[in-house]
Amino acid sequence: MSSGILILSLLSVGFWILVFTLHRLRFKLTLVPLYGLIAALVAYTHILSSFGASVTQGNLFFLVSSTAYFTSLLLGILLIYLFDGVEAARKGLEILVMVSFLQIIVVYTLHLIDPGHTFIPSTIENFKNYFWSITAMVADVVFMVIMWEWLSKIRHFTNYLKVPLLIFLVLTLDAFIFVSGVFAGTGNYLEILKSDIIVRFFLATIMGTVIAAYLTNSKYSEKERDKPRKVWDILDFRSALVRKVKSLEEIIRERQILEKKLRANSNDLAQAKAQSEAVLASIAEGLVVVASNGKFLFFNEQAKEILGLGPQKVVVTLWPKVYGMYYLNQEKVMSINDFQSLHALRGHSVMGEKIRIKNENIKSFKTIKINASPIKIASNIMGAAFTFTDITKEQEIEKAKDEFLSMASHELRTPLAAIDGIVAMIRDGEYGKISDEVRGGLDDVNTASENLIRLVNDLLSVSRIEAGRLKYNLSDFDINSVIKQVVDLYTPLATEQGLKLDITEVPKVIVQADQDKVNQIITNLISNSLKFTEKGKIIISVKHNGDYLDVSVSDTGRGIAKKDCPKLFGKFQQVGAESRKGSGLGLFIAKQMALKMGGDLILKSSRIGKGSVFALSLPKEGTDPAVRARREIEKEASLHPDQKSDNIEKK
Amino acid sequence: MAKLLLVDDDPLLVRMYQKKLENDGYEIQTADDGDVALQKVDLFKPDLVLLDIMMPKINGYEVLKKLKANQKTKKIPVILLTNVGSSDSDIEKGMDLGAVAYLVKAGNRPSVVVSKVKEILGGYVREVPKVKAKIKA
Repeated sequence: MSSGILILSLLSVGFWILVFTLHRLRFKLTLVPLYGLIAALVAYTHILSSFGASVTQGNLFFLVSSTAYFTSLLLGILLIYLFDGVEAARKGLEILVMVSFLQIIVVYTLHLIDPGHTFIPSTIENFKNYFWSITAMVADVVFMVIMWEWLSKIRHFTNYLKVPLLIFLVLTLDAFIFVSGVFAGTGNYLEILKSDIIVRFFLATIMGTVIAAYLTNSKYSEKERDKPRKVWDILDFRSALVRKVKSLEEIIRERQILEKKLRANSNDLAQAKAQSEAVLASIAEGLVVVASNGKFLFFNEQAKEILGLGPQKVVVTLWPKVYGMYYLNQEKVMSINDFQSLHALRGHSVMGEKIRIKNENIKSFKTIKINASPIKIASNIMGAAFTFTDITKEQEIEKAKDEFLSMASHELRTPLAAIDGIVAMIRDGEYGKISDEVRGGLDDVNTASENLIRLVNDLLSVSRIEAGRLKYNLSDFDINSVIKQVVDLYTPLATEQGLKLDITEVPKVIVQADQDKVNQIITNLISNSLKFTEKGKIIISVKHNGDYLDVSVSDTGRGIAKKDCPKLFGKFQQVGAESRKGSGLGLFIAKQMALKMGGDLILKSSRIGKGSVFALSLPKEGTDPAVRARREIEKEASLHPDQKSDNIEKK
Repeated sequence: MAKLLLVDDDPLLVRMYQKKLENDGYEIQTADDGDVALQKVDLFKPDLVLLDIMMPKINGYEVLKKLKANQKTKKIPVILLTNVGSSDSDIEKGMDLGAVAYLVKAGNRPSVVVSKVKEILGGYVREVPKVKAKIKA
């Protein structure tokens, strides 16, 4: 009766445990469970054989069979390791340990129930025992898994500790059995153990702990389930290998494609590089590219030649001293502070800086023009590009032009001065008394010579203006003084013609201009007015006009027809029926000069028969137009440093 | 009877100025190049030198330098005569070298030159022209 109850309780417990376990495992298993089954089978066989024999053969047999049993199971572990790796082998080992452990439990249990029983189902009567032992074996397996789970839950134990712990427990039990058997003598040691309360207590503790642990362990087993496990991997091994090889082939193929692409790209890159190098090598200018950190990125052959470097020389600086860069107008080597082009490295374009160069490879001075531009990427200064152009030839031509103009001025003026001077002297009787008739003739000669001088001056001015070579000496002065000067000069002539010259002044106003040229312009305007006015007066007035000062010359003269207005400031324009003395260049020159100084000269108004008003505007000192004009003039002056000065006014 | 030395390589102009100056009562000697001029300064000991700038061999600036370097001649006032334009730098150069005035021949008739000479001999005032208009006067 008692055996029946025990069997049923074991069966029910076993059944529940089995259900939980299978639920958890869901057939995603490694070899380990299979191993477990085999191990259990072997254990069972061992149990059968050992107990069948132990009655007759005793403890020695038990020990030997146990050893054989363990060895075969350990071989099983080795197989697992070969197929599934370390983790699975570890688990297998643990299962082995648990199998052994359970085996002991089963043995005790059986003998508690049926001591002396042989377990061989020879008859149908024994079948129920056989069935019972199968169940016990299954329970064995289940128990092992549960034990594993339980031990896994104990976080303080790593895998490595769990295994020794189990082994220790098993060995302890084994030792216990063995020792007690020895003490019990032959055969009936189990009889003694049957009544041993320690065994029963031990059994109950184990079972109870296991069940409790499993029930609380379900969380952990959930985690375990998520890890994918392969079933019957021995069959998958080959396909896995094939798959691996396939993916390797895939990888190799992709790699080959990438390599091809890379080669193509580097070919394209090399081609593009060769192209841009060819382009850079073909330009006539020297090109130097410097990064903002001072590193030289590019230095073409032309640059080396222009700067007089040997082809081998490596360039690391753009310091004037290194190359023998001199100022244009001094025999001094340029100091680096004056080398404006370097400002490109700070983001400022510097165009057209001219330097002279002389060094060991350039024996006589060459003139070089430098353009420097900053290189910006998304408004960050990455460096600068410098171009060098040899303009020695151009400079020589320019110099020749200047010299020609100077020479022309000189050669033309010398005889004119002689004619003018001597005629004046003759008229004044310096060469002896002359008759009135002679004087009259000389007057005409004088007029003609004055005209000629004026014409020559005008022509020279025009040619200078056209060549951009008219030199301007800007200064800040009071306009009234210049007006007064001209008016004073022309008052006698005006009075002679019966005309009045009036000035309306404003209190001292300082303008920025070339005083001589302003004089010339006002002279031109007044003399024009005198030319074309029969009677009345000529008024010169000065007015403020924002940044400018307006000088208006208004007369009560003939006036200018509408149709003639557009041509007024053109070259060689004479307006009016008679062309009196005058080159027709006066207004052209005057307007060009006014414009250059930052102002203008316009015909403000004119009415036939009533008169005309001309207005000259000049920038006041320090104003924006004044500054601009000054900058323009300075720029132009720097292009022609040897420029001789302007024309000479003949009084 | 003040003595003037006229240095110019153009014979026409030389004759012209000489006529005028002699008519106005000056004793004139002429030189057509720098070397001759320096010799004549030594011999003639003029009260004033009218010196052209554009001359072959040595130009007027060189002659001026030499005159001012020589103890015996450095007190003699020199008026620079030229026929090219008068840029500020040219004037400055001349004045820095010690000239007392700078006249442009083409812009000034001989009578003007004479007034200048008179002015300078009358009361030697070394003018340093700041404004170009002054020179024309």
